[in-house]
Amino acid sequence: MDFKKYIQRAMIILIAIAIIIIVLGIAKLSENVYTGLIYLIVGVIQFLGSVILLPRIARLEDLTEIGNRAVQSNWLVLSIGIAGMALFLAPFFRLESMVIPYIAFILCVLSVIFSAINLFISVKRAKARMIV
Amino acid sequence: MKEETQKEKWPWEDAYGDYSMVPVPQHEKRSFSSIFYVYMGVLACIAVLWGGGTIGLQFNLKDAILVAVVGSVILAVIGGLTAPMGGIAGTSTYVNMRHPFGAIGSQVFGTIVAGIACGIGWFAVQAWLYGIILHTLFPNAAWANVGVAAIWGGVLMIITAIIGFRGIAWLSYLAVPFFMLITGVGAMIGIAEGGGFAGLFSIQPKNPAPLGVGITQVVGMYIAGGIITADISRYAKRAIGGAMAWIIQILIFQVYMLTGSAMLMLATGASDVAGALLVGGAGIGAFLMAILGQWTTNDNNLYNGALSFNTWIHIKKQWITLVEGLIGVGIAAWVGFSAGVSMDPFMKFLTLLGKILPAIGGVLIADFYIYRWYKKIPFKQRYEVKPGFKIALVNWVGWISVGLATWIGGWLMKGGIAALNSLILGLVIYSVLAIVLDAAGVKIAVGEHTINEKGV
Repeated sequence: MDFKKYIQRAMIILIAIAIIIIVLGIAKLSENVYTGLIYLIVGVIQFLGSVILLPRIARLEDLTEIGNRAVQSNWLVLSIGIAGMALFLAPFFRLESMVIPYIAFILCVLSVIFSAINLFISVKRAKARMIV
Repeated sequence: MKEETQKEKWPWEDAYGDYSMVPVPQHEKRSFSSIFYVYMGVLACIAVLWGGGTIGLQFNLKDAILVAVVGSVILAVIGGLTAPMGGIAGTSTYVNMRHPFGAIGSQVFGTIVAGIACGIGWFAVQAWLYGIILHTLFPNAAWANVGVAAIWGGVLMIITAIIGFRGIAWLSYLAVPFFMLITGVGAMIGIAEGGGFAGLFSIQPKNPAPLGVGITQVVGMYIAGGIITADISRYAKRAIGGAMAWIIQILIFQVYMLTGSAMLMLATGASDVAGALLVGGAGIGAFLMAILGQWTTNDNNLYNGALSFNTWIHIKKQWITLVEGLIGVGIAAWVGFSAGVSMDPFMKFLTLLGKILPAIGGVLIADFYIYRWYKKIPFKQRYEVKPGFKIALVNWVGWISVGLATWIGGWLMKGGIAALNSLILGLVIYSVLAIVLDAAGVKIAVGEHTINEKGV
């Protein structure tokens, strides 16, 4: 698979993860407004960070430039994912049932793993710069 | 052939690494977002959250916001004026200081304020504080013993500073979004504890202070950062990019961080932000905040210190970073392991050294914007240097201006914001002296030094 196709598919997976976190946030707003809000903030930032890449690379042919832009988006998804991992299980955001927080936490772990892989592949295959 | 063309365009040799003595070449310049992130990494530190916390203990929420906004506007103006110097010339603050102070002046002043004060002194203090914070969070853990944590924390900070701009940027990419979120969490805890926004606005602080005191605290907390913006903005693709990045991060994100932590402290009445976050339920977020906050700030202390030492110690910058880092870690660990030893006398000495910095900033601004405008030097050529370029060994007007401005603004004047007083005095004294003496035909430059292709 060529790099551009790979990165487009990888970002679609990250968009799907972000949408699930957003849905969880909306669902939990009524139970604990702060928990719902933190899910929404993390989900929306991950969603925007991922979705914005697709039109940005749509017309590009230069592999390195595609890689550089992919690096920008994936840094954002990675760092906000780490923040989500650190906060989603915090006592302040506890819910009566901890099923949803654990699901949100696992989604953050997945987004961190995916974005880290994307960063690695962007640098390795597209010779992108880790500094944007 | 290609190499020859590149040599013509960029006739320098980066002998010491990280372009510490020479202009950053065009192909190494970074985007606006990269510069913005690095500045944010410096801002995203516990000191700013503690600053906000202090405000929260002295002002009600309305006044706390006012203090944060006014203080930030002043800092935005200062950094907005210093950042273009780096953006245009592509050189660090200490290399730029050769113009208003001469070659020896840049070595002397750079070493005092950035090398000794930041690179060794404040680095040691921050590494020690890192140990204190971790010990507060985990009092029974051996790895969080003040001395032990100061050592491993200090080593982490040294590693990213040795990598240089890249290391600092990577860490900033990771830390900045987290810090923005944890500040928001602090605000949420504040709102929850304070009984909603209305409740929070009605809380009155236990120890109220005049607005001027709060503004002084905000400006004093970060004025050093506002003066050395060129160290980062020299990497900006567009000359104005560094200034814009600085202004946006200060006006939006510093206000946000100060207000968020003020809300937390106002509502909880706790004495420190990390503790308040932990008690408020931020969990591992409080721990990560302690690590990333100190790390992102302190590697910058080392980085800036090494840049200034490089003006007279001509070896690879990484070695300077390592040595100054190890000295700092040694001091922090020694204080950490010696129960009862206080950092207070050391911090007073560093604060004393720091009093010179605003005056240096004022002189730099005056030289770049006023004196060189008076000399009719085009804006984009004001701090431009090339191999073979001649600079003064000593510019005595710069030295006198800094001395007078520091003495009057730092000690004699009792009103206003001490740092801002010194900065404005430096600006006025240098402008007046340099222009009047130049018009009278008096030479302000003593001696001559020719810059070689290594920037030395």
